[in-house]
Amino acid sequence: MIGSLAELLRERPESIKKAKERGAKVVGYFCPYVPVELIHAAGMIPLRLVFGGEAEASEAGEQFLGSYSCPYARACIGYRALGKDPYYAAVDALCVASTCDAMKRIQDYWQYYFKVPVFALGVPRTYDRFRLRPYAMEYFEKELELLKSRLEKLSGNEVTDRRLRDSIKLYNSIRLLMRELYERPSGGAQWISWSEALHISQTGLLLDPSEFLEELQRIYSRLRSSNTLRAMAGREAGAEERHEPRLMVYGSLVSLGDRKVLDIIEQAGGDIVADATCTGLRLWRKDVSESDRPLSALAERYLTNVSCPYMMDMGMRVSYVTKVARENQVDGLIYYNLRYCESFRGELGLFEDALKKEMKIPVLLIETEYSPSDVGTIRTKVEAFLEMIRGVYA
Amino acid sequence: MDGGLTGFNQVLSLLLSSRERVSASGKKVVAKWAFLPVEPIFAAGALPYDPHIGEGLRHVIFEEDTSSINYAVESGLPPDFCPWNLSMVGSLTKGENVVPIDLFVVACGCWCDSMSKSWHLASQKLGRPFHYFDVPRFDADIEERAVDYLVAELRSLFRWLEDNLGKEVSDAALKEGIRSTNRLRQTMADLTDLLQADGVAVPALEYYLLQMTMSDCLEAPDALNQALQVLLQESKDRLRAGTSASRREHPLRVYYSGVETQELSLFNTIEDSGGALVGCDTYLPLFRGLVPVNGSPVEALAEWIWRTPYNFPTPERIRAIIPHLKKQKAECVIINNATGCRYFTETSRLAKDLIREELGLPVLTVETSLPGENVELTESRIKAFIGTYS
Repeated sequence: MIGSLAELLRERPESIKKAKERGAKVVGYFCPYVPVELIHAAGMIPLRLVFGGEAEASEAGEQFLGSYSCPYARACIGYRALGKDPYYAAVDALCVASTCDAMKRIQDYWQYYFKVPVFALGVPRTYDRFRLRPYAMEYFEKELELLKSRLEKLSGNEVTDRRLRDSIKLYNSIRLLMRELYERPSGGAQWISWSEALHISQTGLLLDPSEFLEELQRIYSRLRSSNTLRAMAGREAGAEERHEPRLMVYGSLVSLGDRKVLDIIEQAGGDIVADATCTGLRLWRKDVSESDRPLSALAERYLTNVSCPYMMDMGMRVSYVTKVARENQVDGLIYYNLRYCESFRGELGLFEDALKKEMKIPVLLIETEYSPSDVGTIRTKVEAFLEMIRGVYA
Repeated sequence: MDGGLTGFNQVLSLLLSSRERVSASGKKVVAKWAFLPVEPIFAAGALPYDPHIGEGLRHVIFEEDTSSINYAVESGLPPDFCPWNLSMVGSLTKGENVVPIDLFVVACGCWCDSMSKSWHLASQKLGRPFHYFDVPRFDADIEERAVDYLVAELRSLFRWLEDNLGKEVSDAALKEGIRSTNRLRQTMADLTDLLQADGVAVPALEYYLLQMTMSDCLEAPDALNQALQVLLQESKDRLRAGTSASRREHPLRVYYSGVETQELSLFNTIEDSGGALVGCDTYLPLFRGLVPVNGSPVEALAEWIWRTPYNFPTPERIRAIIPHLKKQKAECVIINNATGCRYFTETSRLAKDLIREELGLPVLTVETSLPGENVELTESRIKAFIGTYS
């Protein structure tokens, strides 16, 4: 089903190369606070660089960030330093949201050592659901204006309101279809497995958005026209009899290539049915309003989407995780923490306490790096966690 | 420590009598992190207290008791977290805090992520109100926008203080607080200037501890200033008499950068190896310049906050410190990364390269942890470094 996407992905480096030969510029970004629509509307190629899982890239980044730092951040620098990855090598400029420490360091190092122009985007930490500090939204909108002017200068194209509205429409269409793929239309069944949905989500971040949308439409049509949903429902019923523990993943970014923990869970018999990660469902859940003022609409959407722990409104995250967990009848939560990710790790105690008040599901912390050395330890933890959940239903 | 400095002994006495002083005042205590100004708290009729220093210094360093760290881990923090946050959260959740705390306010700016999480956790465990003050990213040349934002954040802070403490934070009270803390800043700056002399007026460990007191002024800026004035005079007298804290006639002039360390022996090692501490930038932003008292005190504080070097990207932060390095005539730099501190660990390579590029100074990076852990390795490296460049 996603074979055609895989083919598009295989061809992507070459298509980027050809586009660059025609004068196109590539703007890389790492964090979902960067409004991809702005880059697209400026006529440039947006690439969310979400590769990870490989020890080599993470180790290459150590010479810059040191070993006691986020492995994803190390990889973001390491891939460029190694010079082997075609996506990282293709980047003409970076847009870095000034969120966690690691992101800010990526900005520093790419600019200083790799001499790549970096457009920093400030993100206020204090914006919350109750909009108690409205000037934070004004600040973010001004940061977007600044980013827009920098992108215009780099590309030589004016980002008109019309172009921006067109980009917003395009990405909203993608978001709608991604939500359809993730959601459960009836009886708890899903169109595709969570793992496939995540893979599609991550892949889409690298593809040309128009091509990605076309491909998503094809995938979705095929699913609706086949018996897939009913087949999934059948499998779901069988699964319920055995009670495969239904798990949700929440925490640090799950990058493309970072399958270690996910594979261990699936091999141990855990059924991951949902997530609240920034390369998964959380990314697609909220549209940009197609209003008269597209820049304001972008600011509104990107600042009020479910936040990462960089932001201070933890209540919003707890509410969202609870909602998704209930909708997907989750038995347990995997709190996935890349080692030295302080935003997520520092919040664990507070998060668990708050979650317990909302719903009684067990939480398993898995803290790891991009290295195979802890596979055995993680497997033991996961197996024990699943046994505990199975024991509840026995 | 050098027991012969009366002024320093007075400072130490103030530090160790925080609990009694707070209790006698009858005032509420607001736990605040270093780079948040103290003036709004004083203006609201409360006392500022930096629990990193208060709890970290008292329990972990002076009493050599690290058992509270286990409480921090049980509360949810990882054992490889920032040691200052671990000792603070641990001490508070264990119930052994030096000073009882009524409110928590943290600045969550362009520096480390662990700060906001630890302080939020501590406030939750103690059941105390918590406020966060944001210093987001601004371009260095967009001053007006930055100041406007920070004024709004300050006013939000004032409203929160007023709601919780019942006293208006007036411009007049702010100005009075600024005048008091400016006197303290000036004295600390004068002491720092003495380090430019060839002799060593203020020993390394004493200077390091003194600049830490700038965070909460030990709840008593005037008393602290008086003690520092005594020390300033003693130091000037020593310089005139040619009495130096260093064993060498021309010690290697060492500048300390990076995160504050709990391994205080590092400073004695610097001197024992033939070096002299001529500057330190861990708390330098707190006394690097006076806060103007003419005009709007809120705008003055907002601008002062914005200019804190830690708000800038690393290259700009280092470039902001370089004039100070030159002024203090540093001959080498030691950058400390505390185990668990991501901010400095992740920036130390760039900081090192920039300092070498701009000034051509040799730079040593060390890593310190809780007191006594891996200290031999650190000491050997410092001795070898100072020995090489002396």
